Amino acid sequence: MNRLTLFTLALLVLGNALSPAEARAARRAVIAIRVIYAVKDGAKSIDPALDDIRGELEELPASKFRLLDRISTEVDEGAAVELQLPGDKSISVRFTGVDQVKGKRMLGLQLALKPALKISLRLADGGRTLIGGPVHLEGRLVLDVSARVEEKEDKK
Amino acid sequence: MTAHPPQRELDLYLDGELSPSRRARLEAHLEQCPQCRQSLEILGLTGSLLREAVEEETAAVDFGGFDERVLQAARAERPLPRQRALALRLGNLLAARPLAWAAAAAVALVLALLLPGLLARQPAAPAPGRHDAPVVAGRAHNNEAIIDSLEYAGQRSLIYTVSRNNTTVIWLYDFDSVGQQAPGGDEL
Repeated sequence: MNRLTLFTLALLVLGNALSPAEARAARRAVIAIRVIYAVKDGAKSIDPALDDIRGELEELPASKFRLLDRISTEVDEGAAVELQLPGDKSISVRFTGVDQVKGKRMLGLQLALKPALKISLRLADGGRTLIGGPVHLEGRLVLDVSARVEEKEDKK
Repeated sequence: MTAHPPQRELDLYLDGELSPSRRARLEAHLEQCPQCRQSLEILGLTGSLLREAVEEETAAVDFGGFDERVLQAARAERPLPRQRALALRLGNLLAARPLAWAAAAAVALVLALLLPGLLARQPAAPAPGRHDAPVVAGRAHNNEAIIDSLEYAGQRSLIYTVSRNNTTVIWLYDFDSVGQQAPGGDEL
């Protein structure tokens, strides 16, 4: 066995030792939901905390947008969580797994907004979707649902 | 007396391409070695005769338009296929600096092996549950979404994509009227 072969083997062993979690990795989805209050009321006005989605909000059928709440949670693959929304509403989020579409990593999610909506979608890792419509006070709620996948270490 | 220098050394001396130290060493040897002095004279004479012969031969040649003819011939040549040209370029690069490329390949291999381990050692996320946290997605993220199925108990909904950020929007116009019609909720 020459020196180059030994060096390569040593590197492989070292790399394996440093990344045991990779081999035994399980996944979870980090879900973040921003609860936005939207109302059709005169001039356009968007909460500065929502500046990053101004482009999206400007296309919705409302004129004023205020951030009401931020909710964040982690969901293991195959599991679901239920998150409370203002006005006794709730949304259930199930993380069904990860899929590759045209080389992009997509998260499989099932969102259920009780009592009327259930949707299965695949969302790009780190991407977002907006769901709007539930009535709240004088306006409506808009949910900015974003998700990314995270490898978690096996605790064994 | 030092050893006789090779002919290549004498050639370089005649062409003025020796370093000062080598030139001094050679000149010291030439002072003591009639045999090398004679070799040097012969070499110098041969060079002169060769130059004269070449000058005589080329005097009759017309070099007018020579550059243009070379360029025309080069343009007429078919370019190499892209893969072949790339392989040729890579081959030249590897041949020019083999040690540097070997070192770069070793560094790349080490990084490829170690990076996954180092990245996997980032701090673990907090325990699951509801809590405030920064938003996951940013402006620069790909927001592509594929809707596999949608069950909506209402009558009016709209799904569209905001072209600017490729964000999928689901807008439910009569969401709450569904709840009023069916108190207790339809557990979809």
